[in-house]
Amino acid sequence: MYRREFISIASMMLGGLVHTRALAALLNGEKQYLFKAPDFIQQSVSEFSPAQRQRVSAIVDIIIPATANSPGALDAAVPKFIELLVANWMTDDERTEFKRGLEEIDQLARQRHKEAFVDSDPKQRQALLETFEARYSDHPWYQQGRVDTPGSYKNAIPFIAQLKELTVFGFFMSEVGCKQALRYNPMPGRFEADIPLDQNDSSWTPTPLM
Amino acid sequence: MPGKNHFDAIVVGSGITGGWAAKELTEKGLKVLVLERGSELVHGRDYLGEHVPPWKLPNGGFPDRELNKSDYAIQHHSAPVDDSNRHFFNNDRLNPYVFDKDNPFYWVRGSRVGGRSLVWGRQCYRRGAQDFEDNARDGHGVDWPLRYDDIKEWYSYVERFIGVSGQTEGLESVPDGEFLPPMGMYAVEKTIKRRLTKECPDLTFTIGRPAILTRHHNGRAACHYCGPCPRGCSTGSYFSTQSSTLPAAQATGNLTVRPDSVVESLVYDAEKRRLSAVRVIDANTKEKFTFSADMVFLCASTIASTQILLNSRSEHFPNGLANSSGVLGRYLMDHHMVSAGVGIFMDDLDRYYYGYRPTGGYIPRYRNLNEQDEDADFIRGYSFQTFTLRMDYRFTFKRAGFGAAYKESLRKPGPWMFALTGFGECLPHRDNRVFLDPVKKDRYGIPLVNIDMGWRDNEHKIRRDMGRQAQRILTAAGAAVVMADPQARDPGEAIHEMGTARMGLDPKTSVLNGWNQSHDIPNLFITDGAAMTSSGNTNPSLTYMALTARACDYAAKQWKKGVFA
Repeated sequence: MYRREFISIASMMLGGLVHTRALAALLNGEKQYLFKAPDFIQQSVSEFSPAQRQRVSAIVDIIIPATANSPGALDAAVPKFIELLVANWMTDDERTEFKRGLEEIDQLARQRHKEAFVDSDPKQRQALLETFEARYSDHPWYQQGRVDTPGSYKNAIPFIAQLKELTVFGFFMSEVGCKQALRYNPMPGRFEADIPLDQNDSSWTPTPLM
Repeated sequence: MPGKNHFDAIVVGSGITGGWAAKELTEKGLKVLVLERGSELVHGRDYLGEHVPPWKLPNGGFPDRELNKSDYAIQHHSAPVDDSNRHFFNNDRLNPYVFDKDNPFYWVRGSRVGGRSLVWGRQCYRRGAQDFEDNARDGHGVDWPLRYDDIKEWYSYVERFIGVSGQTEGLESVPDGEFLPPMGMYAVEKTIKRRLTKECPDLTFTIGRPAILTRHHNGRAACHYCGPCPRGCSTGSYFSTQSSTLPAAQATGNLTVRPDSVVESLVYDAEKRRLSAVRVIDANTKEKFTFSADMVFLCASTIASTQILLNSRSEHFPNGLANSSGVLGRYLMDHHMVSAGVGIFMDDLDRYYYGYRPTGGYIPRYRNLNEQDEDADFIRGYSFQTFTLRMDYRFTFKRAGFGAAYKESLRKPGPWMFALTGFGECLPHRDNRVFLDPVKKDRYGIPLVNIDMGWRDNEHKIRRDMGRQAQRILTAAGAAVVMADPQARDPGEAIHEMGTARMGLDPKTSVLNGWNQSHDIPNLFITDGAAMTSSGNTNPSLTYMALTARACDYAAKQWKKGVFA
């Protein structure tokens, strides 16, 4: 008889369960280590229609495009990130405002170019977003240098501000964003207070202000 | 009385001071029981959020607003808590307290073994001689029953064990400690220091003094500069109960820790005029236990320790145990914490840093030192903690713009920001207080704590002076943009709550003598923030640790003489 089988039969005969580490974890309440968790964007979600998804993709591609030396929002699955937050994190009112804004920007495109936002070319889409932003940029959200954690703004914010927040954080908190647009150095090992910064150097991935 | 439930000493609480009491008493040979209200937390194993990369954060790093509102309304408002370390903090829905919404006190609490030592700010500044003399000098509060010279060696003793990094400056207002090498200053901080030395020679700008190791120390590893300490640190690089005092206590073989133990009250033996036992309610099963001891150290944190005494009233102590003075629960203080000013600097834009520095800088008290400044309309003083970084995308993205240029600007470090947070002394005021609710009880049947505290005239004047000084400092430092509109946080938000069982010379006006020993009950010691007679302006935990070590030394000597038998 193989040793392993003997041990498991013996355990059953003794009335005990085979205490593997996995089982022990299950019995004691599994410890969920965040650094081992699946990536946030790996969850499934079904909040947007295909048309809404396309439109969000077309928008974020303008806000944070891929450029010669670094990837863009589409490379970092930002549309998925946005859909997850709209579905699971936003309040009903915020979700309504977001979807209303998605409609409004499409209507603006149809007014101007007689075609859908997704069918407008990048230059046209950029101009549309800029017009759209100009409508709302008096809002207090646009104060420079406010130190808010993501999503902590207390009052209702307009669609364009929601978009920016979700896109910017969705991009710069993603693995692609952290490692390819910023510099990711989670375990520096030492501290050097004063080193040179080259013109093209990106910032270190920031850590929370704790 | 020997027996399975009898110990030489019981320590209530396992936080900053409870851990120290456990270490000191067990190392002196006493059999010690630590009773901790919170659940177990094992060093390393239970730091569930440590080193989490941003893309694995729940909600994509956006705060769990519903959970914050329903269960962590107070903690989330005032403490460094997010989804990566929520499990260290009190559930406010399950464990409420009472306060006036128009006059709030924010009570930040731990929920585990280790208490707030897991998530504290780690800044360690000695109180200077003046901080022990000010009460006698200006008549606010009662005189401290000790002076700096009485505690000086204990500061050294504590610093040598815990490891504090810092720069010696030779200042009387915050005496130098036994320092590990200081962390370095950023380029812009060096520039600021140079300018301030010339333009504002009355003050000193130095690096912070955190209980964080800059080299290996006492078997604990030096910091690896990964960033957010309050997520937990498996290398034990900052002081906490788990990293430092608990292992030392456990090594003696004299320690028993009982987590999930809510202390309901203390038992007073009127014949012997001593404490005899501690009544405990199991946090999960609600079963009741009694543990007896020769002496009790209350280290449950300021408000919790006083709550236990108030709830232990009896015919011999109708106003609360050990409260013949009537001041138990009164003279609550917290530092008057103020966002005093921020400067944006365009200097040193070609300089950066490597690693995440877990401390800011510090400007020690320079106002009203030993005599009243001519231009000061307030008494006592305050210090500034400074915070510097190159602004990243989080600070710069809220503006108009899209596309490649927008992305490029967000990718790169922006200008430097340098912020000043003031910590103002809070005068002891009789009506700033803690008392038990006459009706409402918690889920264990213990009366809820009511906290009633407000900022008063001198605190308001201190805040305005902080703003004026911040303007002066940031301008002299050469900031391109200065914003100095001082905004105070509410009482409790500095998380330096102190007082309510103060030390003093006179048993008629104080609860404790110069050894942190109850005037009324010789085998009762309180060494957490409740003991504080004045708030000073410096982060108090180092002082609590020194008072604890000193009181344990005295108590153990008394115990060995058989005084508490």
